[in-house]
Amino acid sequence: MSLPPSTVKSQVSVHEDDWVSCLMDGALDDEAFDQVLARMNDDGQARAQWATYHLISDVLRAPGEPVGELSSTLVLNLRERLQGVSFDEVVPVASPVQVQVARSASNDAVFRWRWVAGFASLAAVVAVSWGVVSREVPAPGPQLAQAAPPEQAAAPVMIRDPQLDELLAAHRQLGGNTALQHPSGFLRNATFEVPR
Amino acid sequence: MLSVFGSGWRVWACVLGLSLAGAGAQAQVVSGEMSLAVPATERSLIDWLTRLQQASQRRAYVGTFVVSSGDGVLSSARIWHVCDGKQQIERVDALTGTPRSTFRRNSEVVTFLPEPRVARFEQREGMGLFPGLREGVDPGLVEFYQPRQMGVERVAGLEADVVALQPRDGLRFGYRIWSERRSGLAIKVQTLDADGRVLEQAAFSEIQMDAPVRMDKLVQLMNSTEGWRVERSAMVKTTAEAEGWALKKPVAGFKSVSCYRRSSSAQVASQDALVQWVFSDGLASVSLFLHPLSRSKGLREGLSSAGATHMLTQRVADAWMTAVGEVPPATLKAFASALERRR
Repeated sequence: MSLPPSTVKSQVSVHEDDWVSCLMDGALDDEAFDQVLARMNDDGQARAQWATYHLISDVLRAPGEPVGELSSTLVLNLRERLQGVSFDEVVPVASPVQVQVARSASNDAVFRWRWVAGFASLAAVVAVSWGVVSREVPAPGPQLAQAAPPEQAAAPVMIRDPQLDELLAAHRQLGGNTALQHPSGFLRNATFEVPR
Repeated sequence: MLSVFGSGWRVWACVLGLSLAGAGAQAQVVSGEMSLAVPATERSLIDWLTRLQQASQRRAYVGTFVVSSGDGVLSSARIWHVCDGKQQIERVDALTGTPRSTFRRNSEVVTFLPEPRVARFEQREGMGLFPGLREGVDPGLVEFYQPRQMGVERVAGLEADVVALQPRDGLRFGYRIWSERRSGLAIKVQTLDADGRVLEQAAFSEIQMDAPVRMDKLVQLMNSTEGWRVERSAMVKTTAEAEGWALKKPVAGFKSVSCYRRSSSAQVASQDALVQWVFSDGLASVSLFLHPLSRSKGLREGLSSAGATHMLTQRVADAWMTAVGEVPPATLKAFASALERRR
């Protein structure tokens, strides 16, 4: 089912199958809302998608510590599965509506992540998003300060990894003691702490 | 010349405890006249850093602190800070993310996590009464950062001198600091990349200076662990040499600060323990984590970032190295190529 652009409050064009996410976002007008609800009665796949989005939302917004042995294993499995995936093929398919779904599913008080919607449930298992700046480790070149190579910064792949979180927490425990970082460094780290 | 001379004495006064020892409760509200002796426009790098360091040692304040990173992460916390001349104590209650309350008394840190009902104890190095002033502000910093006075702006309702600390090479980020005019306290700090983009910002959105913060109350709260499961991180001090690691050549400006073996279990002394070797240039810090192969299941080579923090993982000799720091990737790569196994 696809909806005409006028049925969406944000006036973005809706890709087929994205209407469940529009419903989640509250982005449908009254007429489209009724139409979508009626359609949900007949479409099991749409109901499953609705449930999945809610699960993602619940996991991302849940307080506490989602990181554990289980999630470490999940991340390892995810990495193995991603070995063969070309992100050049995956990332560009994100339509404006899919981007909106990703934002609404993330816990925006804690982090924002950028990934295609299909990976949201897997990305949800760990605490802090790490942008994978580069997969390869090039030889040291001219030492120019930059946050990320410009060509890769455009579409970063966000991964959230409990092992990296553990190291980040350890770094902040011993590393945040420099001239500038005190006291703002301690306050920064305690405020921005990685939940463990 | 005058300003350098003046700042040198202030550093010595602090190292010797002259400015605070014996001042008792009055130390909480001592004004910043001494560090205001040098006008903002004439302050050297060392003047600025000394002033920033001293500010928090003299003040009691309450405020709301907000940290945001360039990739959209936003965190905030309620802060209470007090110093009585003998000890500093801070309470940081997270307003975002996992509910938690962190207390710091000098170098001792306790984080209370209410949901699992855990109190986590840690020691943070160099967080005593004179943090970072054990050897004074390193005069060598002037080789790597250049201060530039940027005028006066208002932050959280207070007037602040704005100073940019520009890196002199590509191995460190730049900073913009808003230093409250009267006390010198850093009320806003930005970390900037080489193109001037803000990677991370930490600022008070609201602050009450010289607030009536009760130290005894904070100490009492910090010690109230009854009914909580107490966890302590297991760390043993070591040296890189003893662990068989060395740098073939130093990374410009970065000095070795400390080295620990750490483990989540009690088996810190075992070969399986993680070694953390910490470096600092005086402003930014880098941790090199050296993982035995047996402990590193799932690690893969790559470079990651979160705000101003970058992380590089790669194999070095018979181990994995993960370098973490608030520095550009080039700095982490320089560490990786300089690191070598000595045994």
